Amino acid sequence: MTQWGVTRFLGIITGIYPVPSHFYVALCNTQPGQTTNGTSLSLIEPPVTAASTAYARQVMGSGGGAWALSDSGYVSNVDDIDFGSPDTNWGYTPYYALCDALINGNVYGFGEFSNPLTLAPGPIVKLPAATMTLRGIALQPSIVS
Amino acid sequence: MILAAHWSPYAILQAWKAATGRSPVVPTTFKARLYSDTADPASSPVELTVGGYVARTATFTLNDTAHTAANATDWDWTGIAAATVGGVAVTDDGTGQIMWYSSFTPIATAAGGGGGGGVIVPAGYFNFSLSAS
Repeated sequence: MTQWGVTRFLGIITGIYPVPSHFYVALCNTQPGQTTNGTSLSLIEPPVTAASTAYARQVMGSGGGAWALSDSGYVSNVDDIDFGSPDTNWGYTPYYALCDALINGNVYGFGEFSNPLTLAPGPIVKLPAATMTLRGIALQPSIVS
Repeated sequence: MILAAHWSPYAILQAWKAATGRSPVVPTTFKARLYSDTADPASSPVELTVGGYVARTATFTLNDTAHTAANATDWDWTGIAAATVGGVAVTDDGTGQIMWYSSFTPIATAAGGGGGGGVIVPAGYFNFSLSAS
């Protein structure tokens, strides 16, 4: 998770922030960091130029129709996330990120694909259902002074 | 004493449900409670029953720099009878289940009231976070 994502997550579970109604999934050419926001993330996403407009973050809803809950206590995407067909070379994309906006905005967290690909014009790019998982194993207490 | 709270398995599950909107009812009201030996939900914690003790409503505030959540107000049990306290926890008021908890070596507290004593958890002292890595 990013630092923003941690605080947002804590705010949601304590009732300070509302439950998000949408998420946006991004592809990344290099690894985001804990301080990455949606603007800096755009620098490591596949390029969007006047000649190449095919890439965009893909919207994902909230609720049981969008997220499946496992008995092991993690959630994953119910449906395929379809990025369409690249119209230019999107490059090597080993990472993805979960954002709160189509453009710029903030980043909740990020992950790494187990089978990263170099994306070139041609086949449709998809994250198949149940491949993007959010796990709760990193929760920890903290101390302030 | 800073109370670094742990997440219960129930809280972890509720957190993912809340964050992804899977649960139509996100816990929004919480109660802070005292326990005599431990507040670990896996160890059958026993809540205090001494005179004057009642659970306190818990609200939280966020620290955007430290990336933590902590109690927004004092949890004041200074009026209760003498007791042994070994844990503090926050429960989901809807289900009564423990969300976050902190246990410590049990402390014998004097009776509160005009002569002092009892227990108080100052605002900001019960806090929890999650790893950003």
